[in-house]
Amino acid sequence: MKKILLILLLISIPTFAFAQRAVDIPKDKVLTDAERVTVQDELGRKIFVGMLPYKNDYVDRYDRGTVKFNFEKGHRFDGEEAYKVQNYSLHKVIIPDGTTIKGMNFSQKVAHTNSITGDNLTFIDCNLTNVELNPTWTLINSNFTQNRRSIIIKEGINYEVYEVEKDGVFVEVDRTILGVEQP
Amino acid sequence: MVFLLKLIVPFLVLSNPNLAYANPAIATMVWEVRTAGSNDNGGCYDSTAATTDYSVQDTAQLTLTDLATSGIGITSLTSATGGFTAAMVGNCIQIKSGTNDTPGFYKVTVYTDTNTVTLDRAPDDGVGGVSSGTGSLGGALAHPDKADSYLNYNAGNIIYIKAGTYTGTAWSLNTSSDGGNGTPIVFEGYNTTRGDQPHDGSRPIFDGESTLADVLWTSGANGVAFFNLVFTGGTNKGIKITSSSSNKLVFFNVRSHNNGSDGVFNEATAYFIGCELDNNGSDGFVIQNDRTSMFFYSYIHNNTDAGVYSISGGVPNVINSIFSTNGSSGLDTANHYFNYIVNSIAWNNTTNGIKTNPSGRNDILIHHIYNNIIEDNGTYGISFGDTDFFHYEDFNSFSNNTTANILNGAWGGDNDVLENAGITATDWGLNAGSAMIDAGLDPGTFDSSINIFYNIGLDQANPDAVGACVGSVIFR
Repeated sequence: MKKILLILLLISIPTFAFAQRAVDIPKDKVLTDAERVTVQDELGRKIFVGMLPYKNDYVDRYDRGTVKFNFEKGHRFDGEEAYKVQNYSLHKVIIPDGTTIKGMNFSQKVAHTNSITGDNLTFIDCNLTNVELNPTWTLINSNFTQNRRSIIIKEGINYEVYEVEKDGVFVEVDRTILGVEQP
Repeated sequence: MVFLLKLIVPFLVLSNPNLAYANPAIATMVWEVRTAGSNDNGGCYDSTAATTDYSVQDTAQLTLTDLATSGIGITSLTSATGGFTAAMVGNCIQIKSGTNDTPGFYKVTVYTDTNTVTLDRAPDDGVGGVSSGTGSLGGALAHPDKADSYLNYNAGNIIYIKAGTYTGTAWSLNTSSDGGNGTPIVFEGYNTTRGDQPHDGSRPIFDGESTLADVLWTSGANGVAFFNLVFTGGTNKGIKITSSSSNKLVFFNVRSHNNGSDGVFNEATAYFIGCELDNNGSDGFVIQNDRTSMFFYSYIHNNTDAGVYSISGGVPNVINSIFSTNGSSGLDTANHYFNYIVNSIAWNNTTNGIKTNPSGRNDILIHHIYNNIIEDNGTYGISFGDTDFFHYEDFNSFSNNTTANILNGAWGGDNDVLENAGITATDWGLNAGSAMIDAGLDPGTFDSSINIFYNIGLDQANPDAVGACVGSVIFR
C-alpha cells in the first residue's frame, strides 16, 4: 500500500512542477521560454496575438508589461513583407540595438514613459507619443508628441482637457465634453 | 461720405475673413494645389473654357504689379506692362494687394489685348478704382487652405492636390458654401496625373510633424468629399470635424495615422470608404453628437485605444471592414448603438470585439450583426451592455474570445460558426476548407433557386472553387 502511495506521489511531482502559475513568477525576472508560455496563457488576449512577454509585469490595460520585439514577418494583401506584431502601445519593449522599425505604434498613456529599451534604433513612420526618447535614436516621419489628459467639471459638465507639451510646458489644445459611460 | 466709406469698408473686410478673399462663384472651377506652388498664384481654371489651364504648373504664367480698373464696379482690368493673351481666358488671376482692391481670385472672361482683360466681377472695394494692384495669373497654390486667409470654394469645385508632403500649416477648412446634389466640393489627391487614384505612399501627405495640433480641422463643412489623402503627425487629431448640424462629408481612400490622439474626431454625418485609421495615440475614430458614420471597406487597426469609439451618441455602421489589434475594443459604442455590422472582422482587440450600450434608446430596432469574423478578443466577442433591446446576430464566426463570445445574449445565433478562421495580422483571407466559406447569410441561404454564395468575413474569394465568388475584396 505504501509503495503504491509512493509511486503516486512521485508521479504527481512533475505534474505540480509543470502547472506553474504566473502569479508565482517574480515580476522583475526575465522569463524563461516555459515561463513566457505560462504568462502568455494566463494573460490571454489582454495582450495582442504574437506578443512575447519578457517579464511577468502586466499591471492593467494601460501598463501591459514588458515584451520582446517580435521579428516574425508575414505578407500583407499587397504582397509587402511586414512584421506580424505592429502595435506595442502601452507595453514596454526590448529591441536589439541598431534595429530599424517601420510603421509601428509605441504610444503610451503617460508622458515621458521609459518604454523602449535599445540604442541606435531607427524609427520610420512610427508613433512614439509619450515615449521618452533616447538621444541615440533616429526618428524619420515619426510622432514624438508628449501629452496629458485630465478631467474637469465646469457648470456640471465633464470635460476632458487635452494638453500637449511645447518647450517643456503643457499647453491645452483641445477640450471634449465627456459622456457618462455605462458599465 | 467717401471718407466714412474709406473708414468702414476696410474694417468690414478685415473683420470678416470670408470677405477678405473672394472667389468666383463658378461651379465648374477647378483648383490646383502643389507643394511647389505658391499661395500668391492664380490657382484655378474654369473647366468649361477651351483654352490653356495655367494652374497646372508650379509657377505663375504672368505676374503684374500695375493692375488697375477705371472706377467702382468696373470689370475691365488693365496693366500698362501687359502680357495678357487669349489663352488666359478661363484662368484665374489672384489680386493680392493694391489700392482700393478686394483681394481674391478672379476669372478672366474676355481677352481684349495684351494690356486689357475682363474679369468675372469688379475687383474694387467699392471705394474707388483699383490702382497699383499686384496679381498673378496661373500657377498652383501651395496649400488647399491659404495660410493667410480663408478660401471659399463653391459647390461643384474640384480641388486637385498633387502628391507631396505638406507641412507647416494646419488645414483649416471653413468653407461657407455647401456642396450640392451632384455638385459636391471635392478635394482629390493625385500622384502624377489628375484622376490617377494614388494609394499608399503616392497619396498627398499632410504632416503635422509633431507640431500642429489637428492636421485637418473643418467646422461646418457640408457636402464635401475628400479623396486619396493622408493625414499624419498631429499632436492631437489627424482629422477633426466639428459641427453643430447634420453636415455630410465623404472620405474615400483617406488614411489618418500616427497622430498623438485620435485618427478622426467626428461630429458630422460622415462616410468612410476604403479608409485606413491606424497607429494613433488614442482611438482610431471618435464620434459624438448623435451623428451617423458609415465604414465601408475600411481598415481600422493598431490604435492605442478603441478602433471606433462613440463618446456621447453617434451611430457607426459597418460593411466589409476590419477592426483589428486595437488597444481597447474594436468597435465601442459605449453610450449608444449601431444599426448593423456586416461581413467584417473584429480580431485581436484587447477588450471587446464589438461593444455597445444603447442606454435610453428604446425608440429604435437596433443591432444587426451578420457574416462577421469575431475572434481573439480580450474579453467578449460581442458585449451587449443592455438586455432590454432587440439584438440580432447570426451567421457570424466566434473563436477564442477570452471571457465569452457574447455578453447578455441576442436573438439568433443558430447559424454561427464556432471555429477559428485562421486569419493573421497580415492575412485576412480564408484558407481552403474553411468553415466560413459559403456560411454567410445571403439571398440564396433560404432559397436554393438563387445561386449565390457569401463567406463569413471580408474575404469573398472561394479557395474551394465551389460556386460563384461574389463581392471580391477591394482594399486600400
